[in-house]
Parts: sequence; structure tokens; C-alpha cells
Amino acid sequence: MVYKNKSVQLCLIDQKDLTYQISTLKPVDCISQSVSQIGLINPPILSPVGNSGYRIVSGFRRIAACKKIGWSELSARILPSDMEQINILGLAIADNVQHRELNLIEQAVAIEKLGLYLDDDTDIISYGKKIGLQLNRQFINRLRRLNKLSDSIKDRVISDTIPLTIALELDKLDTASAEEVALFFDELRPTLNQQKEILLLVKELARVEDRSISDLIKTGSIGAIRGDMDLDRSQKLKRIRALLKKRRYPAIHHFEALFDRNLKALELPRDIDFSPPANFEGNRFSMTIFFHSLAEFKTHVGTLIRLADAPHFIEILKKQIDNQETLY
Amino acid sequence: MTIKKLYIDKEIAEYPLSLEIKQRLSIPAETVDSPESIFKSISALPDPVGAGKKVLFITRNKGAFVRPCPGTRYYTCCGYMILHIGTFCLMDCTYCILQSYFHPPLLQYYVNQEAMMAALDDVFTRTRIRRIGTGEFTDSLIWETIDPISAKLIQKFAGQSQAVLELKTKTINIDHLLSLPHNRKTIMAWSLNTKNIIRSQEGGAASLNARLDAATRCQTYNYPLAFHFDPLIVYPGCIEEYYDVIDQLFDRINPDNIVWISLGSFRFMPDLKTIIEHRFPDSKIIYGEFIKGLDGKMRYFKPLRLSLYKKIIDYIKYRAPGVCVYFCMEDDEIWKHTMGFLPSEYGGLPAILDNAAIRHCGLRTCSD
Ligand code: SF4
Repeated sequence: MVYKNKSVQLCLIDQKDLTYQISTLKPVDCISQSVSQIGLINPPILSPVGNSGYRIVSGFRRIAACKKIGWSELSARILPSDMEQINILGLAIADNVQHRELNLIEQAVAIEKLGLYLDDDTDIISYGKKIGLQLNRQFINRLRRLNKLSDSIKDRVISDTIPLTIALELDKLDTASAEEVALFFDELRPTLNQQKEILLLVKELARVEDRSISDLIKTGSIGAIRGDMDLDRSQKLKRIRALLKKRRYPAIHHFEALFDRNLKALELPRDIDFSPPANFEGNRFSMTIFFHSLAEFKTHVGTLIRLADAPHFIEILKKQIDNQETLY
Repeated sequence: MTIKKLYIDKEIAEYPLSLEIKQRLSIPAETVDSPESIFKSISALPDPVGAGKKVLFITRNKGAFVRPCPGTRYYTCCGYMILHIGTFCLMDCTYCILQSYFHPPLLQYYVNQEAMMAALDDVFTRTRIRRIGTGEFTDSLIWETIDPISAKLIQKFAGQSQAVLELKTKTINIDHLLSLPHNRKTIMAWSLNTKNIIRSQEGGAASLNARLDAATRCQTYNYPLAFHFDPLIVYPGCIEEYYDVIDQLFDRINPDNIVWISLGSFRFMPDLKTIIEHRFPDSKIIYGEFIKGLDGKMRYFKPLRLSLYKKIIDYIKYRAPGVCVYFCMEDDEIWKHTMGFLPSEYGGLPAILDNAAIRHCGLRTCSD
């Protein structure tokens, strides 16, 4: 690349022109400090505009830092005025890629900007390869969807509060709901699996209860838990997850509570382990006994024999839901 | 739904039945070498399922015409045989499993009926009694305006006593069948559901009243009848509404003329959920309390099924104590807790249903 090194007056650089900006990094404080003490090690790249102006290709934060510490001019690398725009953009992206790994939003921005000059995804993939972007069609589609999300959600993707898979799910919600879910996740910091679980529960519950997701998680009992100052983050998360499950699966919740009550009433010793079939679907219950001696074994066998007539045990095996009327 | 385009497999383009269908439909028709291009273009559309209901591909059935109903080892199967006349449906039920069963789903109709008749002849010479239905991969009576296949089959079955044909439908396309000599070897069967479910989930299907009217007319013409409460769907107030359906059924139909009534609750392969969400955004049936069953299908939580079945069976038995009720794909625990017996105590479910067919339809084995 043929650059011309030149000292350029800061007032000639249009800092508002973000045509080639890829980076989402914001604070310039630490750079300002380093520039004022060591100077500019790596001069920004500029592209000439009109007779005397310049557009930033790379070095947005460095230029902002220079301005902040009061410089009036800086040394820069100037691109030829006849250089094609796609190649200037490619240079801007490559410059970022060579310095650090781009975050998802930066990659999404890069894709969108490349799309202004390249007609289809095949061209974007092959051009991306030349400038250090590893892309495929599916990833490009995901990045495009990501780019449509609001700035606040994108910020949460950058800060890793919201993973890509969840962000793409938020893309399917109405704007208010997407924002509220993002805020909710930001507040309570659930793990990825918890986020997936919560998102599915609130989506389905909102459908069942004919209300919006934002209304569901902002108001009523969930809103109250979120706003409860006496609870810490993990307590809130635990309560909300339990509440969502109970509301989404009332019969299952009801039955599990009944099972727990019946099981407790059996007062089984710790050495007898009773398990129902998974989801109570199969027919095979299991009972495991642990013992250290013949005497202990005999005691456990006696307990098992007594169990056969215990009403709570029979109740469990029947898999019957009580007060069924309320369920339908 | 109406068929907008007819595709004809080149191999059978000159069959008399193909020409008849082409003339009868009188819609744009195209002869194709293979169905691949149709499959490809349908799959690329935003709603391949809906699109597949608007094109008919007539072809040859290259597989077996008579096949066992696909059961699984975890749930009790009834030993039913499917007569594979065609695939897919003109109606559009939200819960229809055919939406995810065929890839892509497409109306296909088989015109090599001589092979079908030969397969039936083979069944009729066996010693085992057979219950055979056309309503598993399609609705039995949607094809009648294209080709009155049910009329042909009714007459075919009338001439033997080895097997019974069940025509299962949600339509009322029965007028041309009423006066046929059926010899009680065809059971006219309707799927029943609550008015609420029919209205909101069974697009294009006849109303409950119309179905029961049609059944009543078939009864007048001495056809044996069957009813299928499948899928039972749980929603607030559903029990009372199912009681109402049962009342309407027995207010009009003589229980002594019912060969069997089946019960099955809504179940589906997990991938159907996304299809329903996309195709029927207003439907809430997929938001029930489902768990993954032992066969990988989503099913209502078992205690919920037990409770639902018990109520419905008790009410059917109250209205018609002698009627044969069975479950489609449920296990022994469900049978025992709701019916009070296991099929194995009576020789197994296939034997129970065979006996019902013997009683109502006068079946005999070849050795009788
Ligand atoms: S009538 Fe039967 S085959 Fe037709 S759409 Fe409904 S469920 Fe599917």
C-alpha cells in the first residue's frame, strides 16, 4: 500500500464521518494519556475528501484522543485520492483485524458495510477471507440479524451479558419485549442455559396468557420480585424461574408438589432411595436400598413391606392428580 | 383448499385413470419425468405445507399398498393395516402430523389401482382377520371428487368376509356411498372433537353437527360406524365440552351400531411445534403441558392424560355401557387405571378389535 505520510491539521479531519468505522471501542481516556506521554506510535490512516478535507479510515480513537489533549495537528498516513472505496473499507477492516479479534457487533458492521459494495454473499465471503474475516453464509445471516437489534441490546452483546444465540432470539420479539428481556438479563445475569429456559418460558406464557412479554416480566408478581430490595440477584433469579415454571406448567407443578408431600409422608430412611420414572411417563419406579449388615438389610426389607400398604405410597403409584377439576 | 395445479408422472400419464382425473379436475396440468422439481419448488416456498395442499401429483405407488400402521414398542398398538391410496390432505388442521411427516408434504394420489386391488385380494385370501383403513396418511374421503375410490373399495370389501375397511374422515362426502351394497364390510368413521377445537383448529373440516348428521345417514343405510376422539386437547373447560360431544353422539347414534370408539390425546414429534407456531400463530394447542414420551413424541403429562381419559371413558360408559372403547398408542398403566383392565387379559388389543369387527361386520376367517 502506498501511503503519503503527512502532518494534517485536526480541523480538516471530519470526525463525524463514520463511513469506515468498524470498532465499537469507546473510552479514549487511556489512549489520551499514552498519546500525551509517548506520542502517536501508529499514525491514523486518512482518505482525502474534496480539496482539503479528510475522512478517517483507521484511528478514530487515536484522533479523538489527540483532540482531547489539545493537539491541533497530527501525523497521518494519507491514501491515494483515486483509491476505490471498497478497498479503503477493506483496509479499515483489515487494520482492525490485525490489531485484535473483532467482536460480533464489529463483524456485523463490517458485513453490512461490505454489502454496500459487494453484490452477494459469495463475494463477501471471498473478499472477507482476503482481509482476515472468517465468514460463511449462515454466519453472515446471523450477523445481519444481529445488526438490526437496538443499540442497547448490541451493547449487551459486546459486554457478553447476552450471547449471540439469545440476541438472535430477541430479534424475533417485538421491540419493547426484546428490550425488557435484555434489561432483565442484564439485571439478573442468568447463565446461557438459564437465559434459554427463561426466554422459552416467557414466550410461551405470554402466548398462553394473551399478553406481551414485556408486560409479563415488568409487572405483576415477576415485576414485584425484580423490584424487591431485600432479595439479592440469585434469590430473585431462583424465585422468578420457579414462578415461571409454575405458571407455565401448573398441573405438572401441582403434581410434583403432591408427589413431594407423599414422599415426605413415607418417612423413608436415608438408606432407601425411591425414584419415579422420568417425567412420570414410564411405569417403572425404582427403590434402591443401601445396607452394611444383615440386620440393617432386614430392617429395610421390613420398611419396604410396610410401604406396600401405606396410603401415600399407593397414592404415588396411582399418579393421580388431586382436585382435578381446576385443571381443565 | 382447492387444487390449483396437477402434475402427472410421465410413467402413468396414459393410464385411463390419469386421463380421467385430468379431465375431471380441468386445471393446469403438467407431465413430469420425476417429482424432484416439484419437491424442490415447494420446499423453497415460505409455506411448503400450505403450498403442498394446492398441487396434486398423480403417480404410481412404488411401495406396498397394504402396510402395518407404524406403532412403537412402548405404547400398545392396535395392529391396524393402512391402505396407502395417497398422501396428505385438503383440509388444514393445526395439529396434523402429516405436516412434518412427508418431506415435502404434497398431495399425491396413486393411480395404479390394479396393484392395489391385487394387494387386497392377497389380504382376503389369508387366514388372519384384517382391519384396514385409508385414513392414516390422508383423509379417507377427500379424494371422492377426483376419483371415487371409496366407492370402489366399499364394493370390493363387500364381496369378502376376511377384512373390514374403515373410512376415517372429517368430511361429509358420503352421498354417493350411501346406497352402495356394502355388506357391512365398511365402517364409516368420523373423528370427533369439541366445537371449539373444530372451529379453531380444524380448517376446512365439517362441523360437528354435519359429521353427526352424515353418520346418522350412514346408520340409516346400515353402515357400521366408528368414532375417534383423537386428538383430545386439554384447555380450560374442555371436559364439559367433550361431555357435550358425547351427548350429541349418543343422542343421535345407536351405540349398538358403533364398532369402536378410540381415544388419543394430542401428541406430536417435536419438530411439528415450529411448524404449528409458524403456520398457525393464533393456535395455542402446542402450549399444553407436554413432556417427551418414551417414543420421542411430545405427550401431555401422564397424570393429566390419566385424569382426562378417566373422565371421558366414564362418561362414554355412562351413555353407552356396551360400546368398545380403546386407546390409540397408550400403555398398560393408562389402560389399567382408566379402563380397569389390560388388553392382554382379553388376548391383546388387536384381538379385542378383531372381535368387535367380527361382531359388528360379520367377519370370518378363511378356515371358519
Ligand atoms: S383432516 Fe386429518 S389428514 Fe386432513 S389436515 Fe386434518 S388431521 Fe391432517
